[in-house]
Amino acid sequence: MDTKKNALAPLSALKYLFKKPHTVRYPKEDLDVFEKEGVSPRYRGFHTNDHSKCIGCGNCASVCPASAITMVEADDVKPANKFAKTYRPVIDYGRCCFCGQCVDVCPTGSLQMSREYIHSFHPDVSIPPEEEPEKVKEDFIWRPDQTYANNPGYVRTPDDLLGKTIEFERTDPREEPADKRKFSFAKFVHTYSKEEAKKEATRCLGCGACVEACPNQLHIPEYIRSIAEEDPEDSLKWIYKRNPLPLVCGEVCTHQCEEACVVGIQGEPLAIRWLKAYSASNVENYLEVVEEKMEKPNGKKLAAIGAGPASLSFGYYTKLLGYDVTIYEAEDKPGGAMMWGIPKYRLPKEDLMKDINTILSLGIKLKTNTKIGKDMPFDKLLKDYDAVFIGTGNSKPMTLRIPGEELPGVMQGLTFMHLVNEEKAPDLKGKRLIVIGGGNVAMDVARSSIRLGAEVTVIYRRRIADMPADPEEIKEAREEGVEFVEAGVPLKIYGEKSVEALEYAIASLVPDPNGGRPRPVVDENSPHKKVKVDYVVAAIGQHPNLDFLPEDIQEKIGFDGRRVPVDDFGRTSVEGLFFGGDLSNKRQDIISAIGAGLRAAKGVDMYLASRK
Amino acid sequence: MELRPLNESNTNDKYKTYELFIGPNHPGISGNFSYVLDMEGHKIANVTADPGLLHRGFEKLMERRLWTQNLALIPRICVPEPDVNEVAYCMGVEHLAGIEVPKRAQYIRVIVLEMARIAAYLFSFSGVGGATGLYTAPNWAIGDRDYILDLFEWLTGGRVYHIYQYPGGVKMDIPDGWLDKLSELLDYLESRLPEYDNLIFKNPILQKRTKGVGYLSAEDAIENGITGPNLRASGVKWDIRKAQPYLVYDELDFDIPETGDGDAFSRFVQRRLEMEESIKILRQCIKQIPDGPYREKIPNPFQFRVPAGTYYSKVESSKGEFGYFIVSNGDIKPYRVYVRGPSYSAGLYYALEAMKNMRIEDVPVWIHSMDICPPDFDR
Repeated sequence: MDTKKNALAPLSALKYLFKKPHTVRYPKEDLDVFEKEGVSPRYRGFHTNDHSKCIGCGNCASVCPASAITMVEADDVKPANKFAKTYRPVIDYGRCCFCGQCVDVCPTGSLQMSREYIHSFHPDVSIPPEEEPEKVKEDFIWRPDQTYANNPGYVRTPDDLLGKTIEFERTDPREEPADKRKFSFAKFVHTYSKEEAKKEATRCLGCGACVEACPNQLHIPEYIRSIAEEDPEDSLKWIYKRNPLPLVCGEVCTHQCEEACVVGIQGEPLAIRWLKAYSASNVENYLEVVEEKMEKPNGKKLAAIGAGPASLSFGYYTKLLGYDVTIYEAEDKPGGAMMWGIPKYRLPKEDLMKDINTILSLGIKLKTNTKIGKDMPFDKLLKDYDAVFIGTGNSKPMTLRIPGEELPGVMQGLTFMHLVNEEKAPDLKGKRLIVIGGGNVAMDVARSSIRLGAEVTVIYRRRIADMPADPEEIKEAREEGVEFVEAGVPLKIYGEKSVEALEYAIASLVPDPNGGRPRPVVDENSPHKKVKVDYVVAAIGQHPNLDFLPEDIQEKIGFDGRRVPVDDFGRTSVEGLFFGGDLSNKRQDIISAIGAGLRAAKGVDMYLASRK
Repeated sequence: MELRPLNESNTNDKYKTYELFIGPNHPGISGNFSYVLDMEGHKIANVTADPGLLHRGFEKLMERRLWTQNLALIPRICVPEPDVNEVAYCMGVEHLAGIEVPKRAQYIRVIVLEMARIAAYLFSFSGVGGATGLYTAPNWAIGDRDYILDLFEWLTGGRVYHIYQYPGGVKMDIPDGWLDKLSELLDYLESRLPEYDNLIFKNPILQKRTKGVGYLSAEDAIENGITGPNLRASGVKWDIRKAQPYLVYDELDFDIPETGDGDAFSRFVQRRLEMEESIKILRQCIKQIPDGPYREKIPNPFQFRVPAGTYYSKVESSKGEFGYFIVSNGDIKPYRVYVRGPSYSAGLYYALEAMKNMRIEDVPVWIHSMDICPPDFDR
């Protein structure tokens, strides 16, 4: 470079007097650079939000470094799905720094940025000065919608989905392949390793959509966060605040939370259930970790009938409050449906007993082989105890009501599972077995029978997609070789000494005008089929069995369909009598029962406090 | 030089010494910053630096924000060259978290850094012009810088604050056709260099105003922690890109220009020469950039934890060593972040020494020759 002094050199600039001026170009004039009219195709301008996709989860508001986003309830939008909220982001452009982080973490991809902007703000001169602040507010704080959607800027397109901020791919725990697991009752889904659990936990956005979907509102983001921090003990502490059966729920919960998980909208939801199992199975002694403070005994006595999840949860939380709790159980082991209904390959008995023994070790009395109404009158309970909780669940199976049902070889789903869990199931090697029904019990029966060596067909009266069973149960059952018949309505069971054949019709499915599940209709045109079969298991639902209650009490509590009507705290119209579990829950699963037990524990505490 | 009294009254003590504020709002100063000068006539007797006018609490704010949220905050520490903040911060976070950045992302980072360097040097050309009353220079330099901002806008979506880096790489890949346009821009900028030479560096008036002004010896520079072009203009061949190569600088072929006179003029010339080297680096990057992923996946912002530890990451900015000292305790937020701005040592400490006995009209020349950027020492 030549830096020799030259007085004439600067004068060379004069030639620019005759050239086209080049001044600072406003973005709009950058056509030749961007090859697209307007500003950069990646410009981060005003937001757009697709209200039909937005689920109101609030991740945009949580990540905003400028606190520019407020979630405001909108009454003019429809929730995007069953779990979605109608909150929508309202953005204060006086605070927004247009960094685009809200777009990065939007799990639905509804929030995007456009290429629209304003250079500067010129309030209308006709506006009186006192109204100006209002006008400014109007122009700078608003709820983004699709107004600028035709001019997209910084957006997430489907093809770069995985390169972005949210991890959409799930880390699944190790699983035994179908051809191996179908010969064994051993648990086939392994628990996460530390690395796997951490990887899966770090996918959580922490928005808490799952909490509202959970029938018992567990502290899900908190316990997942603890796993991400490699602290399963802290995680268990969070779980125990609302759930004393962590390992059971970690293995067999119906995981509503995963259906609500916002990551699942564009990718795979978090494996919240397996994460819980990871925490629970990584802690040897729960109580040492949980460090719950037990109140001093207050001298009041409570009884719970049926040692299922509802009573166990009720017992745990009332015991912590200082009550003296006794649980009565008709069978010889506690656990109820968890013990007798769920097969071992899903919930090993030692895992179940780990949870139950922890609860009982608080000092809860368990009276097994004591059937209320037979071994002890119900009235005595009401008299001897300050309050009674009933959580006996649905124990009376529904019957098919078709000819031939009384034949040996026809069984009810729950009875069959009881036999399987007692290891007293009939020898099914090479036998043909038909399961009627499409719920989780039907799947348990089918998959247990496969493991016992049977050829299994499931007959369901609607489509597979309409089955109430978990989709993964259905998928895994198919992998293991279970056959499915859709729209099959059983008509008659043939046989002389025992079951020989089953006749069923293929129903036509009439769509529901309200968008619900279709209705199966059998008429004279329906094709009939007859198949040879050795066993028929009906798993079409269960009734409550409250025969032990005296009639006047039965009348007093009244029934709402099949359910016992209770308030938010399990209270009935009979003083001192509380209900929970499948008897009174809308959803008939373990986590709802645990929730009912917890609520009833609060209810009992309030009731006895008010009675003083 | 002996001060000559303008008239009789000036000999009076009352008028001979006075206090003069230069900044925070002054055409000769490069930001919201102020020196209080004790004057004796035209000569500066003593200087006090008065920082704090631009204090925005960045370091404290960072402790309350998630690791990735900070990326929207830190570019604002240095307006003329915001990308060094993003890259230095990301490099520090990646080192602590053990993230390997894909090759392509490293090349993109070098491209961004060198473009930012050129933009910052053009900015400093405008400073030279502003300080010496040569007002064509700012108009030209800012106009040419805008072409670089156009490309930044295309690549990142932002003109000045790009918010483009992300721990693990960059946020988006290079768009189609962008590298060709960059090539064209480099041709244009190269063709402009002789024009700048004619206008600024050969200009006898500018040379008279800057040669011999603000002399900084190599020893003083090292003693005062002065880095970057200012240090190199004093004859010390020290450039982090060469001495401790980061990103892919060790794969690129470039020189460290030498001027070595240590005065304001050689500092200006140093920048002008380094701009040529940056163009050379960019040309190589365009040729060598590999295909592949542009980002390594990291957990989402709410779950991104950086393992406990400390690390000092540094890059060579247009003004010198720009560093981030990051302390993590394993949480989702930094425990402490310390920002080492290159102007800190020159503008806040060395200035007190250097400006003594300087004439008042040389103060803006000195400030702009040291390329002092108040935001990076007033964090």
